[in-house]
Amino acid sequence: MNGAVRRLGGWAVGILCLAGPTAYPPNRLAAQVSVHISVGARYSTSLVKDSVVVPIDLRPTLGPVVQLGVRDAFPGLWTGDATLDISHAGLDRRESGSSVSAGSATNVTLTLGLRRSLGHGVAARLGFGGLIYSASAPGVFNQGNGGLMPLVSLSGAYAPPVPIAASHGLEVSVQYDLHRFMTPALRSVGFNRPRPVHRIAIAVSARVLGR
Amino acid sequence: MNPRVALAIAVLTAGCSDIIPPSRTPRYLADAAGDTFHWPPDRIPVRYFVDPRGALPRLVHNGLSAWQDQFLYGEFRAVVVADSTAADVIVRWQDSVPADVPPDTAGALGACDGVTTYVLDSTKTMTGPEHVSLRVRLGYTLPQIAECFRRVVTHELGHSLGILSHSPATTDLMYGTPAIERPTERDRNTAQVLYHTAPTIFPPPR
Repeated sequence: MNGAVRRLGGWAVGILCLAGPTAYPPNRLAAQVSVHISVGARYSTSLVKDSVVVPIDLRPTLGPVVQLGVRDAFPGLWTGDATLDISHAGLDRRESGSSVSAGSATNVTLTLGLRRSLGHGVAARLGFGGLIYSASAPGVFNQGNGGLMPLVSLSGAYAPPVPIAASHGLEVSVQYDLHRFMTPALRSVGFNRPRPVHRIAIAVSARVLGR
Repeated sequence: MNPRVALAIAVLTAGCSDIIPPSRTPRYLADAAGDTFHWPPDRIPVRYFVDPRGALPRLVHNGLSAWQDQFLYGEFRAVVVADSTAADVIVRWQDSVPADVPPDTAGALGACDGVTTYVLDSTKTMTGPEHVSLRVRLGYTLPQIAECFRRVVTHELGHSLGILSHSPATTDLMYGTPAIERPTERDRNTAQVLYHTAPTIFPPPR
């Protein structure tokens, strides 16, 4: 029972997070909502670790990331947001000390997050959402992209205490996220569990709309 | 235990546990008298020239797609080129060009045959492109011949990418007289292992 209540509590937080931006009257929305754009670079751990005679890694290269976020400041220190994240990276096959291009992949992530100001320009964010891959090469994606992959993200942001940062909402952020990677092609050769993929991005963001 | 601590442990455990890669068995030997060949990464995509007559362009396209789909990490890819002098592999009809008709699966086994050839120098380097020749056999209907080539073209392309021998299993595409159109799990495992095995035969210089 207690567990069920806790689960419901978790859902309630999620629903509040979703509903928060739409719960205010329109005149207040205009005052609270802001739109932010971020650009940066992302590092990812291997999508696949395999062994065919020799160990093989399929790893995304360091790639650019662009994010569009809509934030709604709640009363107090909390902010809710919805963030669309698009990143693109080459895929390298690494084996026996060499690296060979195996195409590229773009992924799109949508997360809903809660962000809390910690003071001194520092903020932390926890987000949940889903990620989907779109690849230009066959290989692991030749039977499909694996669909929507659940994702959890944690990030920290710092707004430097300078006037231009305050006026444009400039921030530097470090973002970590985790999802589990699996595609039908991998399943068909016998991979029976998705691989955890850890990603870290460093981005600079600016407010483009709102206050 | 504090639920937040439990959640953190669960996330970290999920993030750190490793996955055992699948084994590539069953498979068969792909070598010819101990020598192995596969196209090296710097020769990918492999260039195929295809005789434009009859159904051959479509058959080769389907066959190459079938083989490319067997690889997870882009080890083998191919492109069709218009210039035979720039090709790594040349695919041609040997004699007559069969009519492009709907296939008839009944009695098609043996209605055609194919051969893949290459010439090596003393250093086991190919002296020129591989040649795939396809031949109609007498005594069969056109639909039977059409069905036969759907299997034999993909089979010969399997040789051209480096599977130099035949599978001992009658159910495999790389069996001497193939009865199916696509690579099996054994064919796939054989091709994947081949492309991560050091070759002893080398492609011709470009």
